[in-house]
Amino acid sequence: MLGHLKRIAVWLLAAILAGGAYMYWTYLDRLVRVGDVRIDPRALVDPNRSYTLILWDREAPLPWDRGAHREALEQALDEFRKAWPNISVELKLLDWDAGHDALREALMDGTPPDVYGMPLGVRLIDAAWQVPVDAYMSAEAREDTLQSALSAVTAQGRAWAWPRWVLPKVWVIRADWESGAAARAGWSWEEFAEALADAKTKSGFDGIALNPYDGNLLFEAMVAATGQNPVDEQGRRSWSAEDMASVLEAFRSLIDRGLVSRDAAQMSRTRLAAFWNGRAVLVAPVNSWLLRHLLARGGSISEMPDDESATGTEDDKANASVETSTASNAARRLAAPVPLPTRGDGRHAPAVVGGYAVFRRNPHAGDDHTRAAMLLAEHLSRRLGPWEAANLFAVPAHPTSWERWRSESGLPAEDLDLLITLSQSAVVPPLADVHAARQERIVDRILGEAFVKLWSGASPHEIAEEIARAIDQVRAEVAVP
Amino acid sequence: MRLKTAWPKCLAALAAALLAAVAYPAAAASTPGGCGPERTIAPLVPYLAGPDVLELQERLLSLGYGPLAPDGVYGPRTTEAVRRFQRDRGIEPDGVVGPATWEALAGEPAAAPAQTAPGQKPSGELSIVVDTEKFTLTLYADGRPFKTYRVAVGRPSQFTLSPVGEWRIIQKSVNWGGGFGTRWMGLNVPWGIYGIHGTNKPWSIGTRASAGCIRMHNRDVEELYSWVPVGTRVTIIGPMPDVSFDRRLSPGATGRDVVFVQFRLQELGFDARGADGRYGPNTAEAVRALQRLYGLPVDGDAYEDVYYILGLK
Repeated sequence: MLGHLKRIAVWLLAAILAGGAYMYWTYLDRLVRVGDVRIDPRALVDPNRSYTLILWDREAPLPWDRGAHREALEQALDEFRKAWPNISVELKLLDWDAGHDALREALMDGTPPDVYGMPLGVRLIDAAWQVPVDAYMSAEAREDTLQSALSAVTAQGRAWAWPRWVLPKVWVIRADWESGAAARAGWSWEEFAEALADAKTKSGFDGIALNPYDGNLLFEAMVAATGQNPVDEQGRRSWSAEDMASVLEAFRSLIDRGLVSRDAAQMSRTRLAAFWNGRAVLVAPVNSWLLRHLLARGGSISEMPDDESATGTEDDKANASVETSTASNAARRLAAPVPLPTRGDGRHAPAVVGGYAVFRRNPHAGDDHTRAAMLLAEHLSRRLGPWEAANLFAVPAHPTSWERWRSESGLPAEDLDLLITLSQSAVVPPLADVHAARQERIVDRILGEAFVKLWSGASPHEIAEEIARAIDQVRAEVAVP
Repeated sequence: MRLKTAWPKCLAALAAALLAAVAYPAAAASTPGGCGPERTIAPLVPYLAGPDVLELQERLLSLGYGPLAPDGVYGPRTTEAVRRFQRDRGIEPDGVVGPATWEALAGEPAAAPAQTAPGQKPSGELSIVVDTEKFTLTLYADGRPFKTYRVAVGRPSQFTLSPVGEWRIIQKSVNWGGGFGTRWMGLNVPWGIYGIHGTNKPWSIGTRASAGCIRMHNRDVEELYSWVPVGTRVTIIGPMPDVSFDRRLSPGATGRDVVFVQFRLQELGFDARGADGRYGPNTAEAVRALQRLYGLPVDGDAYEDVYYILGLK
């Protein structure tokens, strides 16, 4: 009898221990490991505790509406503070185009911000400090995030930032160029070249106006044509010399056919003049600011933030002004965005994804503190995303915000649809900091310098080989920042 | 016309005109715009012409010495009107308009409105804003308006509009006399000689009458002169002449087109640190910032596409 009871006791103990171990391993499994810290993503914000979050963000320079971005950011922060009265936020604004050196220094000191804005491309700076956000993303939130945006911030199976928007690259054509109507996502270089030749013979345009000194031009053309970045996620060169020669040959052909000026220096400084004077039918490359200038001057969007042209009640004005201005703008507009030509059947759009990353502190400030930071980051990405997207001609990462984005952007529906299409086939820079830094160097220092040699007679194959060697060299030179 | 007495005065007028051309070669010959010394207006052949003649004609008309066409040309009708005026004022009726005739044309000087109690002096950093549409000059002390004066500004033609921009007082002088009145404060406008000065034509205050300078009643300019030091910032606002943007601007360039570029840069949030018509390192840096933001070739020069971005083309 006693022996039987002993056996039962042993089995019971074993069961308890096994159950405890299972629960313990389950608990450990759901913890997010960040460096030597394990963070429980299920921890909640304690309503009886006060939190202070450090936010580093950037204010976009908007010459047409100065101060507006700062105002929008402050408004979003006010909303957050009202929703979470026990969470205060200290904001530090960095220069818009400042890199990540300040963050890297702060990481070395162990004093990173809790939330860090990355408008010029999300990066995985340091997995020992950067907290993956996927464990904090509800199923609903995940469903309401563009797949391309989520993929862009995901590496090693984890999402490393809350995406704000996807900014696909476009070129701009004159809307009165009839053959340009053929432009659609995935159109080929051959179709592009034929449409340009048509422009010259039938419509009297001279050709296209490029800035070949800007490395982004060749970069975007190559990404669109190949669907790949110059370096992959392991830092190896993705572009073959043959790929590059092929795209360079396409540009050379345009030069030889007189569809691109042979004077690169003059052309690069008079692109806009040629476009507005009706000589050039296309301008490239085009960033968000130049795009704004072209679309505003070309009548696609209003110059001013508020459209005062509609009459009626305030509600009528609010509802009608966008439609009225969009319709009238579409009828008279002179500039329209178009996708880059691709190769074969590929639909590849070079793009950048903006987002907010969360970092842990040293020492770790608590799982609930991290939860608070995640709440802030998610709030900002959802609240600011549509506003920023409307101003930068990006697509918000959250489709439920598209209605608001459509009404705020002022762009015709066809342009917005194009941006959405392109954002869904986005090719974004590598996520890993070191590879992204290498890519930056390739674009800023190698591509423009090499590309412009096409205008002084260098052969596409020579230039392609030069770029290939230079990209391989960058891998050796650019160490982990 | 009494030839014996008129000849010396005519010769004197001719000599003064030649001297002016020599003394102010930049203003007279190369870049249009700017004040010059007041000349003696005499019945010469070919007829003298200019804004000073126009001003004379307008004053004669206002005093009832018509009929004559205010066309800026000192022809026979205007000469005759001057003689009648001189006769009525007891001046030798020779048709030569010199200091005595101008003084007589001035009549009783208009009282300058006193905005502050006598003896009250401004303190702090002083600056001046001239509004050429309101005909006012306002002295600011530490950014707050201290006193406002009525002024005359440049005539509304391409080369006589007052120089809109941000300047500094670089020179102060007393008793130049004649059309400059009792005080002169020269500005660092690079394309001509401009300044704030008194006048012997007090009736012109509150009108567009000058060749670009800012005219004040003598009493007002004497007060202002006693307060503001060399180096005081002077901002002139108002309509600007039509300017073409055909040239590429690089460091070292000066001109009205540079002022336009500087103003526009500042409006768009690119800090050129002033609109002084001089394309210096600050302007070039502001242009570089614009070029970087818009993805243009970055060289600090204002070339054609920069003008398009600035909305100047």
